[in-house]
Amino acid sequence: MANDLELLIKLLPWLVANNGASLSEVAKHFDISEKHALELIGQLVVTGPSQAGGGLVDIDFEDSDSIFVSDAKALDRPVKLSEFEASALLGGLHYLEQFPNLVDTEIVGGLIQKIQQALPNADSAINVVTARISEDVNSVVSKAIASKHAIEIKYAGVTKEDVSVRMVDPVKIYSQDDFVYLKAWCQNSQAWRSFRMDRILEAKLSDKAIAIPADEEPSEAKREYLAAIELDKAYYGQLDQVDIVSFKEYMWHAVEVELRVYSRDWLVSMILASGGRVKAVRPPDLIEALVARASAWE
Amino acid sequence: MARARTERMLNLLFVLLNSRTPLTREQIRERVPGYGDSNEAFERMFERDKAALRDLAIPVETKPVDMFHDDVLGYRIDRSDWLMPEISITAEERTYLALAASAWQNAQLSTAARQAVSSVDAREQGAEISVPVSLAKGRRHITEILAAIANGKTVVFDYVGLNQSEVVKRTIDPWRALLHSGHWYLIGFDQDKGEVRTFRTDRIVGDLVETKHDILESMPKDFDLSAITDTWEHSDKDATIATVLVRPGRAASLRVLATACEIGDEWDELTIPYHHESQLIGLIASSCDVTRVKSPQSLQDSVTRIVTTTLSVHNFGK
Repeated sequence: MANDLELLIKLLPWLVANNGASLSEVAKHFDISEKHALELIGQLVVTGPSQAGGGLVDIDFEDSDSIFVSDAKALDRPVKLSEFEASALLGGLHYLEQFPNLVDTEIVGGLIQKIQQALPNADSAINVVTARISEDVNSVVSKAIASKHAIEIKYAGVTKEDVSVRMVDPVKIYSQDDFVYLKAWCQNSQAWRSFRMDRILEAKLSDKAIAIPADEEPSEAKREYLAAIELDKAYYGQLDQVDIVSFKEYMWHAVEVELRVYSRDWLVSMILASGGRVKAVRPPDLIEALVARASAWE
Repeated sequence: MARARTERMLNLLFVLLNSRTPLTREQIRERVPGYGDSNEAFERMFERDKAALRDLAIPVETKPVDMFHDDVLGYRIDRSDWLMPEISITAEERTYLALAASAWQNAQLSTAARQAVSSVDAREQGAEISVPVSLAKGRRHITEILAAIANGKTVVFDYVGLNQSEVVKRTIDPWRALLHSGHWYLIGFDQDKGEVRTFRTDRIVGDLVETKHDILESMPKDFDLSAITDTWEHSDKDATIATVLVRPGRAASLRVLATACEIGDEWDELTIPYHHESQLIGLIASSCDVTRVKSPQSLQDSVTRIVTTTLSVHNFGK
């Protein structure tokens, strides 16, 4: 619809805030061609009703390297946030606020207050409750990353469901949704691993400096186990977190989904937890592993 | 939109925004070029332009021009209604604004957040920052839920409850989105049940549809989400206690939930408080080869039921 008008409403306050910007910067920021940017600025230049005592905007762009706005009497501020925009921004800030190990939460908290003071109706419809991380673990890991020392961790594994003790060289902490992960070189398995911080039961600082083989690039764990399962279409949404390769629809709402997961063990757990809603189709070793585990129940 | 009309509307916008008092149609026609000579054409064009501005959520006020002539209507745009107030942002805060926007791994939400950032702080961002945070990657329904909350509209969707086999259509006044222990939830007022309910977004079947209807029940100002989530957590208040045996070094997810662990040679004994069986059944079934339920019997029976079902689905079992 009113595309150019919407752009112009955003463009003028941006030019005011970034006085002296070049045409290519304008094009880049608004994701338009330089030609289109030039047309828009041209429209701003000719705008300004004669009856209102001269132009309402005074733009000077002798060359396209610097555009100066010396007078924008009315539209010198950006438009207020829509509720959706406020929700997205404040939601993102509330999210950051949950991670004292990643950001300075006092600054983030102050920023949220500042925005809400200026816009009393702005609210975020998003709440985040993160998994609890032991303070000891947190401080040991942070110290180890800063001083580049190895740590010994007792870890409650997610895919294999086992508790193991490992020596790891910690590198960085990051978040994915409400979990915080530690990226580290695992000396026991001689590979890069991500550990969920809330599942590190204990962490001990060692006196050894980290020693990561130089030719080992940090790589993401791969979803290498290819399998097929059958389930009612109603439960399809529960496959949010797997890589879906393909799916076929059958009669009576059944679908066969071919997927890739990190490990067979994890998939067996998922199928067992579904309580019969999900059926393993192939490969045969998936069904064998599933039946073996289920038969061991007493 | 034709270039001439864009120009005319931009001028109209400036004139309405720059006036302290409502302007009559005659005054607008005098000040804004491009409305032509015929009265009829002016009326038609002006109505169209006014509607187009309102479509862009620009608050064009209609008010009597003065208190003596309440039949003569004028128009203006109140700056403070439409434009952002000045917010002074420090360099450090600017970094976190950009980070909050870049956390969203969802196209619509990240676009909205970035737009919000440039409205709060129109200055071009400096260097990119690299704290790795990521939010809602590959998750469904989040955008629709947040949009419906912002618009104040009722939503409908098909839903499968935990340990239920039927798909039930729900009509919900959406209040909040919650990210909790790896899952996204919608919290809202269930119109059929007449009470507040929570829904895990990955149990929504098919699409979540925003209706044209305004919500019936809005969120109370003092709504306390933690009153709901506290009962999900490991809080020991009013909890049932399960005693579960697990093989040494195994069943890690159950160990994380345990409030006590007694180490044994063959089995470790875990004490796990819970509020609903559904919190434990799936986890125990997942590691049923290395886990035994000592008590309560009802939990043991529920796990046996779902493990047996899984076996029979695969044509095995007793």
